[in-house]
Amino acid sequence: MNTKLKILHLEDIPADAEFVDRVLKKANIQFKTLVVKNRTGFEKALKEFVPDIVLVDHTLPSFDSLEAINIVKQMGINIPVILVTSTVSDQFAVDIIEAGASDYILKDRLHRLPQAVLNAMERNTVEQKLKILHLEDIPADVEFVDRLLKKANIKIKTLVVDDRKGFENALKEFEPDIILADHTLPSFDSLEAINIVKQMGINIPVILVSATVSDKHAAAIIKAGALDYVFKDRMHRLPQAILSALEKNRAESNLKTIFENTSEGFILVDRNGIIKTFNKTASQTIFLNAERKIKLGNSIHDFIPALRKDHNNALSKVLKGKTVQFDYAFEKINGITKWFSITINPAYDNRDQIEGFCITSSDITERKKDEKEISNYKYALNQSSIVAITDQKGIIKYVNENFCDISKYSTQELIGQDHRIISSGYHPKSYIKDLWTTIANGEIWRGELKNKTKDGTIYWVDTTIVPFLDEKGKPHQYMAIRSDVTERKKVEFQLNKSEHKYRQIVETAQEGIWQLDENNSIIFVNKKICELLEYPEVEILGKKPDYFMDANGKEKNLKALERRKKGISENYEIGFITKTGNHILTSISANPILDNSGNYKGILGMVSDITQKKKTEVLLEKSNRLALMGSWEIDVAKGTVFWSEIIKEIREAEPDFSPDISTGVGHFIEGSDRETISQRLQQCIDKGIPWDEELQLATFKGNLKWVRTIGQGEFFQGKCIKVYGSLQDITERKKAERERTEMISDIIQRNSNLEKFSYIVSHNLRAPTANIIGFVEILQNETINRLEQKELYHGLSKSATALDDIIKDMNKILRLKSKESEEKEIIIFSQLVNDIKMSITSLIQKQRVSIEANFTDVDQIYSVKSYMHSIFNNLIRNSIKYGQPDQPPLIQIKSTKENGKIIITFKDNGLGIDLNTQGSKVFGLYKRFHTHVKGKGMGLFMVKEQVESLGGKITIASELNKGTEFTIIFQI
Amino acid sequence: MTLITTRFLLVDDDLLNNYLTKITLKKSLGEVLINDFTNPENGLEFIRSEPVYNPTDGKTTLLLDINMPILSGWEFLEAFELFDTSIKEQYNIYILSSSIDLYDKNLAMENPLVLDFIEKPLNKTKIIKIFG
Repeated sequence: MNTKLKILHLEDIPADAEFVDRVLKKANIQFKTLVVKNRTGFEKALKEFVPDIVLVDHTLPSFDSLEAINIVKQMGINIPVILVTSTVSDQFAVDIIEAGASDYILKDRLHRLPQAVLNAMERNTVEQKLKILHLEDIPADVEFVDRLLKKANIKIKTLVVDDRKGFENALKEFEPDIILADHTLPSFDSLEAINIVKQMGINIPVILVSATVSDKHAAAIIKAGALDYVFKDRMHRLPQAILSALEKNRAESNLKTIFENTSEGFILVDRNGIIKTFNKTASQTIFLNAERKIKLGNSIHDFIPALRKDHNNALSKVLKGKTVQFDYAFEKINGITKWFSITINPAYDNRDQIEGFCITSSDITERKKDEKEISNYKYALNQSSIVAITDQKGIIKYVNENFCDISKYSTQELIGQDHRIISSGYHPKSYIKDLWTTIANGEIWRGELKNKTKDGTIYWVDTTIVPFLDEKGKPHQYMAIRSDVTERKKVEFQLNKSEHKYRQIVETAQEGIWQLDENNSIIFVNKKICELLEYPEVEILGKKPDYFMDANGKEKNLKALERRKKGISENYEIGFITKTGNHILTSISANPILDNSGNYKGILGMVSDITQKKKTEVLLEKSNRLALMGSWEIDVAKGTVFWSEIIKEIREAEPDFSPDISTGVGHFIEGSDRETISQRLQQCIDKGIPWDEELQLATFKGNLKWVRTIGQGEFFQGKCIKVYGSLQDITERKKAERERTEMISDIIQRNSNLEKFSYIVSHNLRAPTANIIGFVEILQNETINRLEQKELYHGLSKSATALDDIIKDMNKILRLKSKESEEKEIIIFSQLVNDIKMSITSLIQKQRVSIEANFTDVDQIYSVKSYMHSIFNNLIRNSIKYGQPDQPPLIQIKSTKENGKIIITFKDNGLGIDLNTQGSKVFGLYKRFHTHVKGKGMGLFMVKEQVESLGGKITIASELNKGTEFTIIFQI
Repeated sequence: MTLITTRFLLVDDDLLNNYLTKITLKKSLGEVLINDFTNPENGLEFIRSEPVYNPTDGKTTLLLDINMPILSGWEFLEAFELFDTSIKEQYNIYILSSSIDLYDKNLAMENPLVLDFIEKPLNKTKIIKIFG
């Protein structure tokens, strides 16, 4: 062929088309390919591409190879068609060869393709000119035949021979397509010719052309192998006979090819089991007998011993026209078992009489292996699972024993029933619908189903439903594989119940509960946490706790986490910011979660909102601080003492000071305060008597403080175990109280002064005034003599003077009361006394007064001089004025310093005062106790007023006719 | 008003007042018998010895001051209270005080021994008012 071979390839898999190309190129075939995928493309290509050969894939989506061959035939195109396919049954192979295919090639044996292509091409080309070997001794007959054939439009090339030798040579060299043999030849006859062809193993049709032939002879010729015979007087039949013979031969030859090349072994035996023919596969198949090769004339029983054993049954059945099929295992020497499927069909002769057996064998070792595996699987599945198969409508087609056992139905009761027979009606419709949708789509469904047994009890199965798909990919049946999980379900249910219980506890807990995994991610929260943080659960889960914490909390949490990883549990306070931005304070009780091996697996945290509590605490702390009130506790058994921060502040102790009972009590002021607290504490411990006392204590820095101490005992089994209470700094209050007391006494004093003043006004001041009025009235209204007038004027004058004196006294007193303070200075007592002595020298001399002054202890005071002078002066003058008439006055003045005080005493030997009757009046204004001397009752009043205005006190001790002693005490 | 009854006892530490009272009584009533004491204790002593001094022809009018050393007018009355009725009924007691304090006045009016409170100075008008 000069030009490239044009190949039309009908193939829908591009990879296969490409592979075919490669194989052909490798075989050095010059070609070009057009690949089409469907009928339209195929028909178009046949017309336009004009291929030399067609390669057809067997199965195409739109149409198949058989159709393709028919299309080629119908279009009258004479080109070879080769089937290229992955699988093909023997029957189909025969069908397509008969339909006109030149050959078929399995895709896994593509190496055969080039040769097949070439063969097909050649055959096709040769057909163009029929090579006829004509065995004829009459040239006229030869010519007649040639003419007849040409007339029939058969292109021929004829070689005529008339003897044996020529015939034999021609067979070898001419390679005829067909042999026309004259029956009677001088040297040899047609029967001989047929045998020669046979002997040479050449498969060429032989047609006998004869003038006359007996029936017997004709039969013999046909039997020998001639395809046809034509009488010379009916030569017009010849062209058709030739074409038929060629066709028949070609088909036979093709069948022979198939017979030889098929993967099935064929052995034809006669009724006695003698092998009459066999194909290549049969002879090559090592299965039959490893030691012997199959040969014509051997007994089949030597090769398939089972047949002998089974002779009567199997073969007799076949002899009755039946087909016997069985699987048979052959053991090879090396121990490998090969499985064959043996099929025995009856072989018929021309008269439809059974003349023997046709044995086909195919190697099913792989299938057997698969089957074995499948059966293992099936066994395992049946043993382990509850299996049922239904059709696409859910009608039960198969159930295994387990299915019957669990459902309590028998197989008979189940087969043909709707699968719903075991439905419990428990699952919602949507659930079942989902199941059906899934499997109807060809997908596997998995889930748990609650089913019902025949007697109505419930069981749970874990179910997998596998759809089995048909060629179109549609499910045609379903296999349900189940396992009984009723027990597990029961446990699960119990677990759920108990989990539900715990869950309820956790959910209704007033404490927030959360769980963190080992990466510190929150994996569980209860409702309370969500409420606390104001975040929904989904927004908390997966986050780390510090996401929600305030800055301080984050820092604290970091350290806490380290401790947790070390397995330490603890309580601490953490602040959070809620979703709405509120700041809350919580107390967290955190516990590490450890697995059985002690590995850290996370944290379980209890979170309580202590915002209010803390506020209250802070408030309490603040108010305690405001009240300067601290708390303390004595553990009586251990003898330990606790002081709150505020207590330490009150007592001015260091913050880290560790108190004990002796310091607690010992700091109270020595004397009644300390005695009181010791006594109260002892009474509390012994008898449970609580106390509430205001006492004074000294702080660590030596400052004196007033405190209110309250204590109470706590008893256990009649024994005091604790004493606790409060200590409040009331120094300021006490000071204020003292000030108030002083203020009150001052007010009382002022009030009494006012009363006195009112008295003075109504009596002392009014008295001279009344006198004046009286004198004036008489002077004006009465007739009086000169003497009377003189006396009245004298009285009037005296009254006026008295009034003036009193007004002067009043002024003096009022000035004093207004506390018009004068400058203080150092006053020397001895000098003061000397000054006064000087001023009353004449009086001292006249009364023979002695003054004994002793200022050795203290001789000076920082005070107001005028007041001190007045005090000393009044007291000295009083002592002189009220001296005993028969005794010169002796005045003893002494000063001492004691406890920060200056004490001055004035002692005389005078008349004295009866303090029992007059005591209350001693220091009253205008009080006098003696009528024998002049006096206004002003002196002692003034002395007292002045002493007090200097912050001192004056007291009197006196005995009638013995003397009087005044004691003045000044604070320094 | 009869002359018989005009006998007076003055108890007051103020000499000037006693002088003034005496002259006023004399000028208003003419011839009167007057005893005056500046020391109230002396006055009490005089009263105790009444049978000796007191004439039988009528009651004595006692003019008593309040504000006095040693014994106030009130203390004087307390002592007087202790005397025999026979003595006490001899006296009509008037408080004669310079006090303008209502307290003193009320105290005087409450005392059953006291007939009235006379505010100093004693003058003709007051004498007429009291003695008719």
